[in-house]
Amino acid sequence: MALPTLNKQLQASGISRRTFLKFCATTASLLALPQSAVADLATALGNARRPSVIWLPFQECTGCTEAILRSHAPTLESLIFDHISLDYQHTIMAAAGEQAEDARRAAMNAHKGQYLLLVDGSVPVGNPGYSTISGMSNVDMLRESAKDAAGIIAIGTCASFGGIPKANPNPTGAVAVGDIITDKPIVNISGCPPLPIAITAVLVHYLTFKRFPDLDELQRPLAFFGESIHDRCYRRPFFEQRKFAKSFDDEGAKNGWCLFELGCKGPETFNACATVKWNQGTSFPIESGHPCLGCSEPDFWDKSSFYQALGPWEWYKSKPGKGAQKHAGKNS
Amino acid sequence: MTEELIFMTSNAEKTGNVMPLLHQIRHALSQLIERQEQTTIDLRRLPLSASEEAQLEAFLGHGEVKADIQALGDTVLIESRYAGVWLEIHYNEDVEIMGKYVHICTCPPIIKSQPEDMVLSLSNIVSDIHSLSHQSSDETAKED
Repeated sequence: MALPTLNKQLQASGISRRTFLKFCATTASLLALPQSAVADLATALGNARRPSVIWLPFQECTGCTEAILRSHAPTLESLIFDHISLDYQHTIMAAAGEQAEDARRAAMNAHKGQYLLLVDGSVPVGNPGYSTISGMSNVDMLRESAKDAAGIIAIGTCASFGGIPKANPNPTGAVAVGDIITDKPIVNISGCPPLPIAITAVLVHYLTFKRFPDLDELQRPLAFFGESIHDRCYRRPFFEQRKFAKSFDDEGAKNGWCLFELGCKGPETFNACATVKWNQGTSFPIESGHPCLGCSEPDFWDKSSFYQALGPWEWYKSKPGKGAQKHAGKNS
Repeated sequence: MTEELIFMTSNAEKTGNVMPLLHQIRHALSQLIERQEQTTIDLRRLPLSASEEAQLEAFLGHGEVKADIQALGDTVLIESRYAGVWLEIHYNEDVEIMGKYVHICTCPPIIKSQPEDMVLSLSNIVSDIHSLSHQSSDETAKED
């Protein structure tokens, strides 16, 4: 069953070509593609078939779903979400129980080898009974759904690395999607929650180029995870000048100085919060005066206190392979 | 005036990228004049502090053209005081900036009517003229 092309879908929804070009221009920018590629991106994406997507929410808090679906009006960056064929997402779909599972299996059969699998939440393997859907354990549902998927997008830190359910003592035996499925292309879009625009951009890249974008060693798209929070932090110049807030209400904090000594994990956290920002582009945690917690990194909950510095400034400055330097020369 | 703008920001807020960027724009403008080569600079990919971005915009200023485009959120297009240098800002419907570019070209592509939209327009105008002519015939018949 061939689904319509995105061009047909957009035309039917009254979306002009100009609007679509605007979407392609901003997405190309996010994916670090040159603006000269926008016309080609628009042609390839416009001719792509509307993708079938099966979305499995497992051991999660629904924060990822909230972040992605959001409650306000559809906007430019959600254009792709409005035009995918979301055939299963049991948190938001009207159907439930066997009816919902029938819809999932019908989509898998109709689009065998072509559908994309989105997963949020970790998978309990210590005791599969901790999380079941319609009587089926998460691990069985993941294996069944992944078998004929074209690729998998693990959304959020739980699906990518186990996240908070995996934190010590990991009572449910939580693991990441990539710990179970090893024979399919997987892209991890970590973050607690992840940046919704990163998911849109990965979907666009997949539809346009028929493959996932270049990834880092943790399978995350380099366009979003290639630089650390610290690399693009507006407080970075204060770090270089050794101007630090020592407490949350001292002069340094009031002057907007660097939060490194208050435990900021920005130097070792790779994500695009500092450029893409949150809450409709309002700010990101450091801009609100709080250190980065490092939520897009594996085991962020267990690493150390959120308010303990990574180390002395002199030590950190001399530490090799950090920030943008970490990826220098890769994928070239 | 240039020097005044460059040193307007405090040292703490400076990445030092404004001056190289201005030279890149100058170079791109000469390429446009000599070889008709267009350039787009994606400002969101460059490390610039908020004050430096404001400084760049103040430097470029406003020229003769300003266009507002409504396409799932506004797009603002401003020709700077330097002809051939355009600032383009894409917003979404929440007025969040989705993209910010400096185009060095005669006319940024987004302002042009798109062939696909024109094809649809032709069919709409045919249908609208048809409706209008029916309406006129009905009114004439009523008058008779």
